[in-house]
Amino acid sequence: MNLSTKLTGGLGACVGVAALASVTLSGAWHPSGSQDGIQVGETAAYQFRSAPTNARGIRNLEDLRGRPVLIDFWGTR
Amino acid sequence: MPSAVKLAKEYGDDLQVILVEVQGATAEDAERFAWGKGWMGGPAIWTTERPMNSGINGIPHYVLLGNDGTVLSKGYSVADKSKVEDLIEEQVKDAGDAPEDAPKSLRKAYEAFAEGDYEKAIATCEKAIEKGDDANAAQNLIDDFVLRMERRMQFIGRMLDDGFAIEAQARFETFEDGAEDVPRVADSLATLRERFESDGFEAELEAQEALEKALKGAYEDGIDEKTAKKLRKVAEDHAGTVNAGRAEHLATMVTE
Repeated sequence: MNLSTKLTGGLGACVGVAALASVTLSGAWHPSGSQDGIQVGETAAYQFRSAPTNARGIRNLEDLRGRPVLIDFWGTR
Repeated sequence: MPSAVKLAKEYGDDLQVILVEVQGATAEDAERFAWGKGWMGGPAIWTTERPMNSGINGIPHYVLLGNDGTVLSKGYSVADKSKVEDLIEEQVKDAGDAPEDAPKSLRKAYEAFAEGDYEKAIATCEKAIEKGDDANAAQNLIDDFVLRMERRMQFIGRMLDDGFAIEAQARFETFEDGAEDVPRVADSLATLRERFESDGFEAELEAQEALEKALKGAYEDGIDEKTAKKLRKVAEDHAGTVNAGRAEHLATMVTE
């Protein structure tokens, strides 16, 4: 492989990494498909992979229809 | 104490609070943290799984779902505290109401169902069908009511699976009062009733009562070594029950 090819390959890799970083940092790609997350008016649906602590039978959000659900995102640090 | 935890204790079954730890703690560490802070003991449930992408950075933040599962509001928990409380109060007040576009002939059916009088709810729909009033809507509503009753029974069954024998029994007794004369759910009701009449259920009830006795004071003060010792004794005395497993697990939640 000559120097020109190496440089081109290296540059290509850098561009690829930069593109990935920009996509991740900008939030344009997101598991839910939406940068802004779930929107007001949308219906939430989720099946828990493991039973939550104190689940009392709750396994998915649909189990909770008929009453309001407050989902609070918090942290231990 | 986070306002969400307070709201869970204040509203009981009328509101479900789900606390989601999002800073990478394990479920066990998050639970131990909550025990240490005196946040346990209410009906809130705890998880490290995000049930949705909120689209919000920074914590604490929230997503509030209405009675129909749609997002009513989302934002920062502290800033939106009053707004959230007002919205919850509205939803609790409206729970069980007929949808705005529900036919007049079926409104009482929705009310009866919300009150747990399932026989009356279905009878109201059947009367509408006989009269020819909104027959399609009435039939669809019967099907929906039956589905919801089946789901409620499955939910009570899972409460038993999780070891919450006391709560499951209370829910079942209320449910059975309103459902025992509904032929469409008779088989499922009988199957569920058998679980409550079994020796296994009695054992689970005793174990949960012993567990709650061992936990007295721990909800406010956390689990110390003395409580952990009582919990291990519960696990030993009631071996083979789901609550023995719960007791063993809780004995590892010692917070200093």
